[in-house]
Amino acid sequence: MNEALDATLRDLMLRYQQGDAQAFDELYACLAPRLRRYLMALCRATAVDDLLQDTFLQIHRSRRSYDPARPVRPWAFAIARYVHLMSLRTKRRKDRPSVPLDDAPELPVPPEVEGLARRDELSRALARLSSEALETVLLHHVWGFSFEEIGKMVGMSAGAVRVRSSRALATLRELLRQP
Amino acid sequence: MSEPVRPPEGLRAQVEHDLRPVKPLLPIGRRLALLVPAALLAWMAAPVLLGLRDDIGRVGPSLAWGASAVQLALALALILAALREAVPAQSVSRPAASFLLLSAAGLTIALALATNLVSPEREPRSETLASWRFCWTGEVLAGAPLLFVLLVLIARGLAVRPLLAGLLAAMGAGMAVDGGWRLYCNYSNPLHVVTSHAGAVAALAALGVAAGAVVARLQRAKTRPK
Repeated sequence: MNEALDATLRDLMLRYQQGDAQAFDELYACLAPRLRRYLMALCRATAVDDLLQDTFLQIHRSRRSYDPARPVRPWAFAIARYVHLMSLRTKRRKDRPSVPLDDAPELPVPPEVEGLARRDELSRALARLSSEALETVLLHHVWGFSFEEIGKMVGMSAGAVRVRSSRALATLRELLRQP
Repeated sequence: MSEPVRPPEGLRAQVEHDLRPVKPLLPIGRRLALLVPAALLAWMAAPVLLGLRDDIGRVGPSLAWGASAVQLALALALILAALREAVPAQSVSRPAASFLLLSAAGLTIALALATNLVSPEREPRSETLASWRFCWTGEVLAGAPLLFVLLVLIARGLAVRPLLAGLLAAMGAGMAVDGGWRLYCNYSNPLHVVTSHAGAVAALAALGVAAGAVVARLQRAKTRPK
């Protein structure tokens, strides 16, 4: 499924690099919902419209940096991550904004733990993970990025990402066992 | 039926305002291949223009040419890492970047000590400010064009960690130049080599980090729409 999506996105990106406005619209329609959820998970906030818009502006300004030999999604997610980090630095906010668990956005649930509890309990347990652990779990288990792709997105080795992901899943299971 | 997702009007207008066709950057491997001649020029500058050191025979081919070739290879690895840092989703891992940077610093100092061990200055030449300044300035000037080209390439991409990208590029340029400069400079005295030669590499590194900070500032300014 991801292969077909990657092929579609690559074609759209090539047309967009050639100056096709329609391709930008289609690219936005494909990527915006995914990037919105990623930004929501990074920020632990539901109001991410500004960040999403900044991400697409940055995608537009950096469109020449996309290498057609590689998939679009890791490139776009890496730009979203960059925009989020820039926003944190600019606003001098702390790494983990103190969003009450009840106000945290509903996070996508990895299939590995889907059957372990009710969806709202799973979402609350996910929200208790550290930002780095949550990001790794979502990128790999929900959005299907390989450990190598995630490593290149966040500047870590694939092995370190694998360890972080596995520890995060163990923590998640532990949290779900707690009454 | 759900509404199709459309970009907001403001974003769409900004994109349409600047929707000229762009040529994608060459793949990183090809860009590195194009930079190899520039790195070779920086490496060969001192031995070709100024000549070889008097004791090159005593130093021996392995420690002279072999070690300098290793420095050039390390320079290319650093340049490759810098080019990767300038493309989203191609970042190098922190351990890999640390390994490359520490290897560059360690190799420069180790070669200075090893060269002095094999071919010490029998009658130590007095270290004059002029000789110190000549080597320092020469290395910085020889490395500056390569560093400039690398920084332009980094600025044309989107470096997620611009300071690291600048540092890797500068150390790459510094290693390429230093590999050649040690084939020319007659001073084996580690004090001269570490302060003047390695000092020049450190100066290039500082220049690279400063340029990276400028790139970061420009990128941040561009992120928010006016």
